[in-house]
Amino acid sequence: MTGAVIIPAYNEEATIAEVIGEVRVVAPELDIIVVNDRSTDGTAAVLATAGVIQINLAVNLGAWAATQAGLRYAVTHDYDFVVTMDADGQHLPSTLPALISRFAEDPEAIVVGECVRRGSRSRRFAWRYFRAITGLSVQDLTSGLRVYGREAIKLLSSREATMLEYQDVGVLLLLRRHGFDIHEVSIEMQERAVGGSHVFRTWLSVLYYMVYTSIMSVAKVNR
Amino acid sequence: MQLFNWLTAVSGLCFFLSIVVLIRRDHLHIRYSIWWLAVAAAVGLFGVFPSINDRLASLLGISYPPILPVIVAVLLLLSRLFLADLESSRRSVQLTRLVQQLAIMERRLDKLEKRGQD
Repeated sequence: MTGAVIIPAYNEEATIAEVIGEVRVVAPELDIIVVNDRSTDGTAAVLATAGVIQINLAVNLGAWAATQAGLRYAVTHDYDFVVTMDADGQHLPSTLPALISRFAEDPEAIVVGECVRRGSRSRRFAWRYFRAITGLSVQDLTSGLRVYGREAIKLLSSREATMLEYQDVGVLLLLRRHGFDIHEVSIEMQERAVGGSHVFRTWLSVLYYMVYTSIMSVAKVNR
Repeated sequence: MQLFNWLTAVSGLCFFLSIVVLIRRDHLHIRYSIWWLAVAAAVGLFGVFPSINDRLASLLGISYPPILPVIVAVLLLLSRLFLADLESSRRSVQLTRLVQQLAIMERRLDKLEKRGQD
């Protein structure tokens, strides 16, 4: 099986080199695709010497659309599976083998790296709320550490998936609607070493996220 | 005709002419001009013949005729705004996909060029 790791990166000069290095050590057989989401720091310079497959977006598109650029690249290059992970060091490359071996047991399904322990009380509440309104049984709805197989990659490259703004609940609903099983593997995650979450920078962005995901969940459930 | 009628009629005409000028200078798509020309024509028409409005209102059973154009304008503006949001959703998806595709093509081109140099 040929596989790749897709890492969307927006201003991650502090952590990206280390993440790439660790992926190489843990899973040398995987190609590494880094989608530079028009970073304004030294991320591009780090990538230029890192020897990875670098995809440079001309416009800042956000984490999910950047990930999708990597998925679309994966379609044209015929990978059997891809792993998506964050560039900020929160997702540990050392967890890749466990995720990939779980995927290999059932290549029709997708695998989510789950770490609900990391959640604060409010995040746990949000997870429970979204599980309730969507009927999804996935514990860690917001984890971006996932393994997608051929068919899932194709589906997530579609125009329909471009309509989504975040990679979490919307993507899972889309996958479920098309009959994909979703397995979870319990893994460790690291606290963010540098900077905070891009999605939850302000209370307003949290509110927007909650309203956005609620509307989407209600409008798109079981369609 | 009263002064106010002249005012509305002239502003309708000015509106109409500016739209034609904007089309001539390629600032406005003909596609979008249709709507604005119709609006300008309506402003001019109701300016010159305000009695049309009164008759229309009494026909619809509206006891206060001046409210009729206000209601119609609000409804049309709302629907216009809504259509604009639909259009902008479509555009944003198109833009995202184009940017993605461009980046992928660039990567392939880079690779080909490097291969050509070797």
